[in-house]
Amino acid sequence: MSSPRLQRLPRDAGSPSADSPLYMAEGLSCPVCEEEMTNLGQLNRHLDDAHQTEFDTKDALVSWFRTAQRKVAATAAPLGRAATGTITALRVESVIGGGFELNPGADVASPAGAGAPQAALVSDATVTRAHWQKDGANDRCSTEGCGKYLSIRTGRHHCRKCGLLHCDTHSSYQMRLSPSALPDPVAGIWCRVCQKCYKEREGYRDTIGVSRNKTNVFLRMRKNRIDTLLLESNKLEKRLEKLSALYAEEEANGQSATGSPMLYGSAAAKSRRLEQSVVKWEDDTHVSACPLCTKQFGAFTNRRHHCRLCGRVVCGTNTCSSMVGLLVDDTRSNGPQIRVCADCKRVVTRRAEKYHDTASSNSIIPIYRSLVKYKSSVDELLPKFNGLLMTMSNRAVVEYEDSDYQLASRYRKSLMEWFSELDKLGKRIKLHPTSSKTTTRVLNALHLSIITYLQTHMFTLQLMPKVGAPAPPPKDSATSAFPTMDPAQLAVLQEQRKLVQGFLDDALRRRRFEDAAALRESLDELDREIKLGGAPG
Amino acid sequence: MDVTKAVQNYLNKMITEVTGMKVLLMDAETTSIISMVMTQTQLLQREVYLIDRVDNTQREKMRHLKCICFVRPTGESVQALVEELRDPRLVLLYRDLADFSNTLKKSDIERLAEVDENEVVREIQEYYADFLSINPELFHLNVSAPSHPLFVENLSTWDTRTFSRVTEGILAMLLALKKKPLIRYEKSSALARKLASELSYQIQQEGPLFDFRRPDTAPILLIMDRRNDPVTPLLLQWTYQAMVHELIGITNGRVDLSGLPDVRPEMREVVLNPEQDSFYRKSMYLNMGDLGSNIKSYVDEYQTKHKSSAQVESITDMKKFVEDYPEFRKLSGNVTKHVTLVGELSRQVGRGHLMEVGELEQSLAVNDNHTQDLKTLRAMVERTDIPEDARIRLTLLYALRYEKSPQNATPQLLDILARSGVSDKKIALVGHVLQYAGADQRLGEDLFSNNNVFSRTKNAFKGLQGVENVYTQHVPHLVETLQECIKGKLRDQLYPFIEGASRDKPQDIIVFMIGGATYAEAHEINKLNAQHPAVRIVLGGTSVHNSQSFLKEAAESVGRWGGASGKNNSNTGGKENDPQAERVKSNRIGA
Repeated sequence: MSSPRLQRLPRDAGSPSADSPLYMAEGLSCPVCEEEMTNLGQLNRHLDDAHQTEFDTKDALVSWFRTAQRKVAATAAPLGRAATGTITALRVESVIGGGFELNPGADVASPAGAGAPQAALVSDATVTRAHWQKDGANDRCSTEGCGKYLSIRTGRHHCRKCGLLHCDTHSSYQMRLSPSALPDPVAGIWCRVCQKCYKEREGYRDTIGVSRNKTNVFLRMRKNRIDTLLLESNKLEKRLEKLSALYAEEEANGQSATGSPMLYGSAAAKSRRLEQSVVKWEDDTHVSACPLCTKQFGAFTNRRHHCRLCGRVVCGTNTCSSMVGLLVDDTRSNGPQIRVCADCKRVVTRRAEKYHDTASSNSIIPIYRSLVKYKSSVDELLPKFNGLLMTMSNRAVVEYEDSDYQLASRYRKSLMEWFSELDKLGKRIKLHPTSSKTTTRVLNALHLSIITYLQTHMFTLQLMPKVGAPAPPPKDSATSAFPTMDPAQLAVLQEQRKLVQGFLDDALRRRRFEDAAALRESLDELDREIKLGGAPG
Repeated sequence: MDVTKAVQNYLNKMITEVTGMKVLLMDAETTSIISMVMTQTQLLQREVYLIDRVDNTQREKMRHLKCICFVRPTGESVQALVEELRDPRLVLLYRDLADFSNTLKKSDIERLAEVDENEVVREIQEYYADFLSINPELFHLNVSAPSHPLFVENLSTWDTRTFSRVTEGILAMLLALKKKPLIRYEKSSALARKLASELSYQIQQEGPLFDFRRPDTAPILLIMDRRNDPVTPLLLQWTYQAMVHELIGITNGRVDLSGLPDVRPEMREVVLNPEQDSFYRKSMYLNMGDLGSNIKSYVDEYQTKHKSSAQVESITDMKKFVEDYPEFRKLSGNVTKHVTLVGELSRQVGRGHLMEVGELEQSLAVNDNHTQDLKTLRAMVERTDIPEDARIRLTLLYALRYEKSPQNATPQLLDILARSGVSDKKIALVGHVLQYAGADQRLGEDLFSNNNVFSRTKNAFKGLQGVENVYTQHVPHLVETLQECIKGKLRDQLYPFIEGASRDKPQDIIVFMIGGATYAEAHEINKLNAQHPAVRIVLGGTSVHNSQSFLKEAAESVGRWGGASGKNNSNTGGKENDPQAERVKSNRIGA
């Protein structure tokens, strides 16, 4: 938008000079040669005559307007500098080229603005300017990464908040400030601010959304439910105890009385009498369908059954009622059993279930525990190791005796140990016997997570610096016909060979043959190196 | 104002608050929400070892895992959770942290409390991650016909179910971004007004939730209606993201390539996500030409790496190779993906002569040049080497542009289409869209600026500035609206406030497009954000359209209105293949 011709303008043509003569009240001077003019017409002619070829009229007019405006402001106000940024100045800019316009003071939406219509008349002059940066001859834009020399072309504005000088682009922001130049979204006055103040104000980059915790409501509701449930289960458990006591008594009686099996009819009648003494049974005729599954009862097809704990009529399907061993601690499978509806069963067995489940532990848990253990040790040590590597990489030569080197190799050793443990764990997980599909999925996920963990964390291990030339280990290297490697280096190679082999297998499995070719080549290379290095040693 | 970050933050908070091995249970909708912002590897890193659907009844007991349920509180999800909590044969959760996207009804909490006899639920939270984020500045609600039709009976009545879904989605988005906006809507759209007033009511109802830090000036929520700009989704787009969506189709960040000739097995379905794919992030808004050179340098980069890895000469090379290998493999997969995609795009462009089509489309949309365009159009509509869909689109653009023009030749064009063997059902789409978003529907605004002298002059000025690229001349209607909005000069008569008002220049703008946004518009938003650093704009829509899904939505809606003409359409389309009937209908519409 700015024409290159315009760069011929003197750089500080726009900065108001306090010593500019007063007769320039109208501020008419040619923007190019600063020759004084008496009126617009003369200037116009002058521009046509003297500068016609050099100028893009629009840009020239823009800068001329600015100069004129500033000069007017400078002479009008006793403190020349303070007035440079009045609203009128901004208006002129926005009309011509700046495109930046402050919001009017009154904000219809905000109650404060609506309540005080005179806010519209308050200019940003009421905001303190005590902290403003002093104008100099060679000011630069204070925005990081900009640093342009401020001139009439770049614009020159004080950020009303931090007080530093900025160019047009980096000060085309506005926010509400209080008279002490602090952000005040409610009653503040719209002020020009810089990019930094705008973007770094509180809450601007907030990306954490709202959430609402409903746990309390839930817990309150659940407490009521659990309380009634406890009462209920107490009641049912008591009935169950009573029943089992009666049965036990009956059994003892029966066994002593007759050794032969009782007649079916009389036994059933007897136990029914026993059961009905504990809870009153619901009348069959009142119930035409099972209350749980809403299936119709029939004379033969879907028979009615009574729950022995609540006395309700339910059907005999597995989901609605089932037989429950009467003696809770009874291990015999052929002990006395009673029919219990699904609701009662859940209530009665609730506690037992809970104990049972927490007791049984899963075989994945120990694997996971050791996984966490190794991971956390690695996470603790690896940054230290990497830090050492960083400090050593800054040095030209690292001595073998260097304490950092020694420490690093010690760290490295334990890290290696942990990594190989993790690797072993991964293998163990793969072989872990399981019949359930879900567990298989969990195991696969665990395995995958170990592999990615190893891949992302292991590579710095290979970055141990080469030990300096006078390093002691390969003392006989000069005498030997083959360059011998120290065992550490050999170990590194072997380790790499293992890694590459892994990659290769993986590539083959995924049928990425071009990758595999490259990998195989590398593998051969490695083998050769190992042979070369390892043979004499 | 970054919708992707907002969802990610919710998810992170949810997952990292629970330590140890975790299961993540989700329903269909939350699964797609999460898959847009996080990969499985990222979940694994946070110790989520099992991801499952909440309505899966085949799960076994897994008491050693802690469970996080992230579901929308729909009837089905709550029911599934109730089953989960009740039935001891299924998973009994050691610890359960139920998270709900969007607001949870009291009755639902009660139902859950009622069945949680084993006291496994530890916490219930409402998280407002109830929208799908595609780019940091683009989200949608995945609401479109036929599963979620917008209208019932007529064009100004919302479908109740869709309406509540959209309201919830927008409220959630506002809460996630912490915005309490002033709501403006497109006046000509009854749907927009209804939605605006409902949102305003809901925000008041949820008072304490919307109690945020006071901004300097209230953010603006601008509700627009797709039917006021039917042109943008019909145009061929030439930027990467938009093109992939138009020519292949992106569903939940995934692109299905299984229909391509000789595609490699691992490329059947690829993921396009600017979060994880840096090449895509850099080039999603590039046009075809720039994209070509970009992908070439990408391949070169890959090849140099490949070469260097193939020529391992020293131990140092070797070391470097081993270190780089995982990164290299990732790169190799990515290169193959983008080469396949771009290859397919250029194949389709070449085969369908889409460059020619695109040029004419732009001319129809932008220039007022009836005679010349009609001539070219007639020739093109006949050509069978151009895909049917493209020819339908061209006819449609013409029909929309010259709908009220006395020289309108739409019926003849439809004739030509029918003669060249295009099925009646497809031809009927023209009528559908005219009904859906024709001049009578658009009311307020002058989309093509061919009515008044002022806008004509403006157009002429645009022409004088010179055309950079014949394929990208058209600027969506949305852009002009937003530019005025940024200046604080959006006209109250066209975009009234539902409540309150402000003359200030907005600093945050959220645009919501009823009837679906497009990737072209997302691109424009991205440009606007770059041009105006003091303003942040986010675009949302009921869905993200390409021309096909837009046409489908239009046809579906028109069929649903069931007016006399609607019935007519389905009769002719379904039973008798009578092009005569179609012509009669379109004549009537065209006149």
